[in-house]
Parts: sequence; C-alpha cells; structure tokens
Amino acid sequence: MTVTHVRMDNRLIHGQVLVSWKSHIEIDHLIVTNDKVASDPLQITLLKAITPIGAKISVFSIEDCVAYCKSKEAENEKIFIIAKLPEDGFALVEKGLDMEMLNLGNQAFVRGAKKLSNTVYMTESGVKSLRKLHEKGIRITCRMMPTDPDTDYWPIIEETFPEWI
Amino acid sequence: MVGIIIISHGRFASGLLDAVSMITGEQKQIQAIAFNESQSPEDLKKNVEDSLSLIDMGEGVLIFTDLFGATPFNVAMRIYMESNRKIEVIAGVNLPIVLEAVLCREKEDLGSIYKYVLDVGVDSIKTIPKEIRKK
Repeated sequence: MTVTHVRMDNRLIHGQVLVSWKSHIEIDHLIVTNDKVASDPLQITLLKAITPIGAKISVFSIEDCVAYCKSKEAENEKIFIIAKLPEDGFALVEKGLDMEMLNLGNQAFVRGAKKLSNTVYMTESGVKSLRKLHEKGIRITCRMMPTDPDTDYWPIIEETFPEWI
Repeated sequence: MVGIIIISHGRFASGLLDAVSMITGEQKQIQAIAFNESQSPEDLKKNVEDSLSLIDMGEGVLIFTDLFGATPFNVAMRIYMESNRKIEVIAGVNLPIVLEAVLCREKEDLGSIYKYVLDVGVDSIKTIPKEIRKK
C-alpha cells in the first residue's frame, strides 16, 4: 500500500488539491473518505463527475477506505486520501490504516470551534483526535499548499488549545 | 432578463464585475460572490442561494465560476442539481465571456445565451496575430 498523503479538508476535492498538490506529488488514486459523504449519492456523483484530474476517484466510508488501502489492488497505486475532519483521521488509524503523517487542510468554522489559523478552526473533539494520533507517533502538519512549511504542528496545537489537551 | 452571478476565489469576481461596469456601464441583476479562505462550502452555498433569490426574476440565472472542479464550481453544481430554478453554470470565467453575456441577455433566453457565450469564451483566448509576430 502506498498512501502518499493524508489530508483533512472540509472542502474535500477543490482548487488547492487539483492545482497545487496534484502538480507537487504524483497521484494515481484520489480517495475521498467520510462516512456522511459516502452515504450521500448526490455528493458522490458530484465528486466523480467534476474532478478534472488524470487519476482514479473513489468515495469510500472510513471502513471501506482502510479495506481498500490494504487490498492487493492498492499495492501499485499512489494514493492521496482526503477526509473531512480530524476525527476521520483518527477513525482511519483505529480501523488499521498505517500513516506516518496527517496533514490538516482547510477546516472552516463550525459552532464551538476556535481559531488555529486563518484557514483552520478546531473543535474540542478534533483536537482530542489529533492528540490521540500524536500519541501514536503520527506527525501532524498543517499545510494548505505544498509550499507551506512541513512544520510539526502538534506543539502549536498544544499551545493554542491548552484547555482541550 | 437572465441574471448573472460570478463566484470566485477571493476578490476576482468583484474585480471582474468592476471591469464589466467600466466597459458597459452599471448593470442590474448581476452579482459577484467571493469565496474566502475561512469560509466553508456550506457558507458559500448559502450566499449563492441568497443571491439567486435576489437576482432570479423567473428567467433563470447564468452562474460563472473561476475554476472547474474547485469549490465555487462544486457549490454551483450542487445548487444546479438541487434547485428548481433555471440555472446554467460555466467554469473558467473571463472578461470577454461576461461582457458577451451582459450584452446579449436582454434579448435572449438562458438556453441560447449559455450556448453562445460558451463559444465566445473558448474563442476569446488569443495571442499575438501572425501579421505582427516578430520573425
């Protein structure tokens, strides 16, 4: 299995991914994973129809995503995973996906969220999910674009949300 | 008259609208919507829906977005699929295509404007004419 990048982005597939990330790393298979998205036929149709990328597109539940990434079919693919929320990232690991790094992409404001950066707002449950991932030795980064620094973001998250750690 | 909405990353749409006004004078039933970095797709969708209800007089709305497959376009697609309004969507907006749409929308209906301006838009990307190009 070659999952080359795991990104949490509530916009799912969009301009930054299609333009910047696609030209920065090789992607054979773009997998969108989130249980809610995977049960929304309209969203699945949209994601598959409007992605102008020379890669395979799949929309999977968290469980199906992990199963697929461990399958024989995935062995020769360079897979880019886009999930919606940090909670999805934790669920992926819980279900058995190996990952070294989790990248926080766009996380828009939702009720109860607090600001980490201009483009990332975190909820308490999101921070707790990231903490569990950090404790498992997974590196957390926060890069909208490939040109953003590959900084280890956990210390910054810890410092920004001490009340939630 | 057909309404026009332009949706873009950042202020590109409002800049475009500014340019349109410079060339054709002040326009009605046309709006620019910016998608900002801290916004969610749901927030943007709400803005577009609010704008649609202001602009759609029953003859439909032509929505322009800046980039195929990006959030402004994805949101427009979602609205297109869910809404009962007459909507057409074109990605890759530029100044010539909006000008053309603005100029022909008084006489034409949505279906024919949409097809016509799509051709105009594709044809509007030009380079130095052969006669002028240095050898």
